[in-house]
Amino acid sequence: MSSLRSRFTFGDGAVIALALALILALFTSGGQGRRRLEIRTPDGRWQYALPADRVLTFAGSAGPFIAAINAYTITITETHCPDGSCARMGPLSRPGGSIICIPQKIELVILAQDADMEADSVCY
Amino acid sequence: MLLKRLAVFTAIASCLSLAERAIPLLPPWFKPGLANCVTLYLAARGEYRLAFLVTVARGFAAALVFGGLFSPAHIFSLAGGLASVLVCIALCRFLSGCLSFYGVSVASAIMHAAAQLCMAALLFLSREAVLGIAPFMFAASVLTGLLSAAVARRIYIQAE
Repeated sequence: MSSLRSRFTFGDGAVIALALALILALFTSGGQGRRRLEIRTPDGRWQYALPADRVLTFAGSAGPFIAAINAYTITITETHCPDGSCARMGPLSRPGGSIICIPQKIELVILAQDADMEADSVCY
Repeated sequence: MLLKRLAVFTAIASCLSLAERAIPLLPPWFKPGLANCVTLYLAARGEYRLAFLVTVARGFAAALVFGGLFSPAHIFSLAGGLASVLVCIALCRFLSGCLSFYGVSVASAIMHAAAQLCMAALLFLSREAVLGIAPFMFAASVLTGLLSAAVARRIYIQAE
């Protein structure tokens, strides 16, 4: 039988501190420069420079998929996936942030725009 | 005897796993992980083989109930479950003297999330997407790990 302690120990504190340090490092590692929105669908990839103000419609695997861009914030306004969980994820604005709709096979990612980064395709 | 205990604990873990799916308005990447209480309880009792088998069996049970056998969700669940149970067993076996339920549970939950993210990156997500969602999943893992630990500890103390 394992002799796991029942009270909180210094080791527990170390594990939690390590986890929090990892979370903090991941939170602060997002890019701070200009941003682009990349949308990946089975039909291809599209990129949009941010800030922008527009409504995008894509044909997802389960029906139309509509995303609204308002400045740096992207919100899913319509999707036809079974439970709409991608719309429930809330607005997307942080570099590195993403919304993934597995049933629709659509992925939205905000990329930090590095100076030397080559875009596959850019649409304005 | 092992089979009987496996059936009982798998049934309990599966019920908990199914029950948490009924909780509304949770983001798709956030699961309370109530079934991990069973794994943690068994590992804390030193029943490592049973803890491992229950984790695998409940993954298949949940996938069968929802008709998603070997779907991406099932593969994520299996990868996360295997990673977390292996870490849980290793910590209970080798570091039980300096860790309590809380440390073991948080480490297991973090490994669960990390394995799911690795699997997502291997299957279809980009590096940016994985790195973007990782801090939220790890933060949720710390909270759910502490919750599971509190429940498993309570059950363990009552049972002993």
